[in-house]
Amino acid sequence: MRGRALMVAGQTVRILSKRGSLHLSQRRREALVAYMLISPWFIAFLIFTAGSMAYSFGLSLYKADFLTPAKFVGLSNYSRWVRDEMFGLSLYNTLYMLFFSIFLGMPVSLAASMLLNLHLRGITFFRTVFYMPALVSGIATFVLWNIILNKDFGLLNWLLGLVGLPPVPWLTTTTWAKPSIVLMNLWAAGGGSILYLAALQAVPQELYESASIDGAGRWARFRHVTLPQISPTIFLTLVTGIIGGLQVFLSTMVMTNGGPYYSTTTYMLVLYRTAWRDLKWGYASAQAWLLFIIIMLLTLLVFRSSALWVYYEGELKK
Amino acid sequence: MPARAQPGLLSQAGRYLRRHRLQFFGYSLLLFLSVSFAFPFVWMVSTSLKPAYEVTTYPIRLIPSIWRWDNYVRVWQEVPWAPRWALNSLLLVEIGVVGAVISNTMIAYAFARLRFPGREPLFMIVLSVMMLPGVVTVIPNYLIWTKLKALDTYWPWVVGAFTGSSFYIFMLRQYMLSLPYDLDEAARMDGAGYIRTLVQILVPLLRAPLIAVAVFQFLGIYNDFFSAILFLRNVRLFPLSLGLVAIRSHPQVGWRLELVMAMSTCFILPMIIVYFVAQQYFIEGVVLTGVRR
Repeated sequence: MRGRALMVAGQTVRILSKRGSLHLSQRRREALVAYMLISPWFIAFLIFTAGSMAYSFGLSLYKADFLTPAKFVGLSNYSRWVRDEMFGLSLYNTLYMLFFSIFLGMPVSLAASMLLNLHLRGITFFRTVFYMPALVSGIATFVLWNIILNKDFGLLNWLLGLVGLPPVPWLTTTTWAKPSIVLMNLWAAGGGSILYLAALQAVPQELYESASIDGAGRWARFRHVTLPQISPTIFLTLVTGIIGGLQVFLSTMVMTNGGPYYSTTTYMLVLYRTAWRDLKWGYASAQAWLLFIIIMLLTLLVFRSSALWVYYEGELKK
Repeated sequence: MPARAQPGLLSQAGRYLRRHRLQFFGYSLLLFLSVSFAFPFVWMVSTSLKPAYEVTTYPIRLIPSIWRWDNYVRVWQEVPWAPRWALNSLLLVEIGVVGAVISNTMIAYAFARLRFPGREPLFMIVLSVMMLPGVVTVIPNYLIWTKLKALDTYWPWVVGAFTGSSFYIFMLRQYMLSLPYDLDEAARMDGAGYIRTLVQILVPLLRAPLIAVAVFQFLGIYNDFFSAILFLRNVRLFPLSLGLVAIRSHPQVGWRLELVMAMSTCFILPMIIVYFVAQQYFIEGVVLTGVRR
């Protein structure tokens, strides 16, 4: 540090301003440059993140459609919404899809990644193919799957027909609409396998070797070596999956527009309609904040539980 | 010496399979899953090449009887606004990638290399914003842009691109932290200012992560449909992503699945190309610079 102090002392910068010259120390100049560099981000943060959050919270306390004067209603937006039947229904739909997408998707991703970890020739080809659906995922796949799931000429029913099964009305019945979306998510689950693959490759081989020496079979090795070692990745996937899954919206809007009889109407879809269709901006803001709280609570739950099952290398046991 | 009986061909094959049990099992499973994952794409391309009368026939023919390559030409001619949409997407992607690369590098440099009061708390904010659910800022952001009369413009994208993004800041900062500080100090000794150090010394070493940022940003902006549907009402301004969804409800074109699938294929193609090109760069970047993350 001594060296730097000498540099600081020995270098001052002269900046000429209207009031004469300004001597800025090296430290000050560095800080000034730094603030200038991060200012775009910080200003955007103040306006579009912090400011927006405050604005939406404030808005949620009003009845506002921007056509008539706003009326302060306090927390009644929240109490009204919680008692609305769409609240329970949309939350149920969202949680349903979230639950199955995660609890079916994760094993699929994990199994796929273990497959991809095998040292077979041409494995890179397979890794690319597995990653394709997730890479390309988005509205193109929604449009594609919308047609694949078509009752009359969709790919899926044709495949079922090949094995002698009857066609399924995927997107047109309340029984099958949500599972269809889950199925589409499972198809893209191959993408998550790349993340698990990286984690799998980071597991030190000695652990497996010493486990085998101690007599652990394949399943035991999986349970006691593999799973704990990759648990941080599982944790990360779980948290991001929950945050993203609770806000699911585009797939349901593009594919089923809320589904037959509201069966695929997710929370965000209700919010979207409340705001942009019904112009109830205050009410919608309350819906937004409630969802935010739910996301935070669930995330907190996962964080708390993580102490029980997530294993970090080098962590001290109490 | 007892004579060795010659094993039959079948038992030889059986023994080969049993010995290479893992490979056999692995390959067959991989093959099965690959086919399952790839099948929708295969069907998409096959539908896009079919003549119109064959698209909805049942049972489905995977191989078109005639290969109508001209479907791909007709998409651009008969779908209204399609070429315009593609150009719009190109513009948005250019803005997005250029903005992201420039702004995030600057910001990450400040957090990684410069000292200033409040650096740690500010970076904490960067991190927490990364996980922030967007739901709570969607409505106000829309209202703010509306009040700024920015609907039906590309301003939201411009501002979004040039103000940095938590994930890229984090990623670039991590990478920069792995570059030795001696580089900065040597540059300082030679009289270079902070910006010069960044541009001339550090940026050339950031090729791999910057390409990663560019690729992610490309994919994000190109695929983005939500912002488009919020801010754009004028059909001429739609990006290709929104256009693809919009034409499904078009009376003349929406039901012609061969055109919709051709458009989907065209839409997906750039993503796959970019991914493959970038992959090579990643490997090249790691090998050339010798930097391991």
